[in-house]
Amino acid sequence: MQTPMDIDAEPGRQGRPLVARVRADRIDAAAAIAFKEGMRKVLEQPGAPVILDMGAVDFLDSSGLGAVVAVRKLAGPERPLELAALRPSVARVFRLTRMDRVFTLHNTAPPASPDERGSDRPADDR
Amino acid sequence: MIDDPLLRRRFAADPRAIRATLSAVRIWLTAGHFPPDVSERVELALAETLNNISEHAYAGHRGPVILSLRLRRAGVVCAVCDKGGALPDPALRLAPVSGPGGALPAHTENGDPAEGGYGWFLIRSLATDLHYRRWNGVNCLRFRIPGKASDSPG
Repeated sequence: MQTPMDIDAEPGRQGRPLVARVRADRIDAAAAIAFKEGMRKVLEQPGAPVILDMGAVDFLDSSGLGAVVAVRKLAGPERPLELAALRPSVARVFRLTRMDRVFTLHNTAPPASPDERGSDRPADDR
Repeated sequence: MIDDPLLRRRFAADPRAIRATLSAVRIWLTAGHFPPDVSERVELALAETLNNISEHAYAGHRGPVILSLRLRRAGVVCAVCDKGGALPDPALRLAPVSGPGGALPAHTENGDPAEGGYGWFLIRSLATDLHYRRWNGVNCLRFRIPGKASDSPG
């Protein structure tokens, strides 16, 4: 089995959204299973809706699209999957396939909350 | 513009080799002063074509693929040949998105969108002049992605 994709999870306690940040630049045929496995782990964390920060992803093909649709189903109706910070190349795939009507899309990703940040990364200076 | 610029690659139909080829295509188009918009559309249409070859024509075995890209005034002409199984229903698959068979995959009974079946829809949405031919056990698909390189470098 493939190693799950590196996806950071910021759990959303007390009714806050679960934020997942993809740390890979491609969700393609070679990465679709790893993405699904990575998201399966993320979904063990609390929070709803689930906001997927795609800002790092600059290529997504129909295999990747299928994987995102599968994750939407995996999350279930109680935890809608919403997508944030789509780059133009990725937004194009959602637009062409009309998936932009299926998913709630956000222009920007929610900022990382300081208490949920991983300690392995330096704090953002902004 | 250089006379008849051509990129030609021979590789095995597996996801890693496909990824490496797409990366080479992106670099080549950027070097040819194509805007990101054009190179992204070429990359997506080729990704869908090559994934289909890997998953369906060769059904997962690593058969050979030959890709050639030519730069034309009206866009990037892509030709992809393989020795896998024949494309079923080519007339239907190559029909315009607005025509019969051009519809998106239907949602499932409980209203969820389908998880697959978007590949050909994307190819037809992005490409023009689609042409498929099978001869002597070799499949060749050719199409054009419209778009222009900027005339001046940078």
